[in-house]
Amino acid sequence: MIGGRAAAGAFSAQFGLRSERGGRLYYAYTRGPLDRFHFDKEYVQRLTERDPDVERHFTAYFGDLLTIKLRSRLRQPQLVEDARQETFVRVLASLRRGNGVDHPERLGAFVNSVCNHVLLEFYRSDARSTPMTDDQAQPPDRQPSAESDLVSRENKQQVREILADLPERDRELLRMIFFEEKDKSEVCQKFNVGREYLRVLLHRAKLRFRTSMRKSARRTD
Amino acid sequence: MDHRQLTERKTAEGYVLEELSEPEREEFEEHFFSCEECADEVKAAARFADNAKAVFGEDAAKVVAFPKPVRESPKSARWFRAVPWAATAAFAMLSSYQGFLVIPRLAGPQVASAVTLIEETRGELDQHVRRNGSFVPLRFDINTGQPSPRYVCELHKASGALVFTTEGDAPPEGQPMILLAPAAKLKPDSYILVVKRPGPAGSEVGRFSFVVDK
Repeated sequence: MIGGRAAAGAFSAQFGLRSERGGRLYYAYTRGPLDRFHFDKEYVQRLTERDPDVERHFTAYFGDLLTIKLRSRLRQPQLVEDARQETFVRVLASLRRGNGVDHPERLGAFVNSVCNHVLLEFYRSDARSTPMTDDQAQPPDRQPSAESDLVSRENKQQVREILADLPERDRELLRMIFFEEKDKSEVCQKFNVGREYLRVLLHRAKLRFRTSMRKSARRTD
Repeated sequence: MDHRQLTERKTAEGYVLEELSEPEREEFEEHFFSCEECADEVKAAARFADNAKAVFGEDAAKVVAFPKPVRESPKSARWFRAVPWAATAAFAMLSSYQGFLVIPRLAGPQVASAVTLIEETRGELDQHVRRNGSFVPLRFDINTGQPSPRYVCELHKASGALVFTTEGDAPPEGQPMILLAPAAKLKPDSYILVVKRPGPAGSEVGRFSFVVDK
């Protein structure tokens, strides 16, 4: 395992980020468009200089994206967390060494690129230490963790209300896809819908969900 | 990748639904890590999907407090023998227990053998569970010096991944708790059931490991 918990601890101590849950980075919950910050020269400069507001924004903004990207490729939640931490450690270390991005607007691409390298190293490390057998060859586990930043009591309530408003068929479609993880082609065949319908269904639900999140964010501001 | 085309094709939804090929995934990731609009789309879609999964999981797995036995009369004894177990539990709850929960998706009488789980603290155990029917009743005792009015049940795979979490009323004193776990979520594997008090700082009150057989 590269970095991992040791990296997380070093990260918290070295970069002075507020941390919770036994030393792990705390990621601020992003509720709406992040229009306070732009990925420009000033942003990168302040990030390099350890500006706490910019650091919080940076980890909040890219934290969720990294989780979403990594969990589709890594089997265990702990590996996802370790890879995420390692990515942040390397990106910030690189920026502070002056080896960062030449064009600040490419900061996101740089984070993605570093994450890809971390993933490759994790694959190689995993292949060396745990030889795969037929019994172990399982698809990545994408169960949301009880501590996942993407699941919260408030969000569940918002989603519950959206699901309740859906026609029974659409609700059942989503349940079979997201909860029972049935094969999508089989589900579409069963309900006599095209694959495109799934995207449209998720798209509409997502729009309502985002509206609900933003309303909620405005209420608490 | 052309941003407008990505939006028109609902690529963010396709990404969350895992319908993109690997090269398409990589290309889209390279895009949305640099595009705030698409990043917001991906986050919202993924957040909806994860929370929907959690909601469906809560609805599917209901914690049922085992009711006090109904005093048997000759007539009711015959009735209990005639009716399958799961329906018996449902009717017994209706008649004798205040805090019953409606069990969704229990469309008709089903026969199920409850598995009694023993806590891990009593040494390494080899508890096996078989899936028969839509639900697998898992029965366990809660041993704590500080009872709580409600408990949270979290089912994890032995690897640590969460399968589902649900919450329910505590059983009457001295009675076991029963978790009706949806069989569809209990694929052959090793599992750990963690019982906790509710709340973000809810302390653990029990831990039960078992294996679901093929």
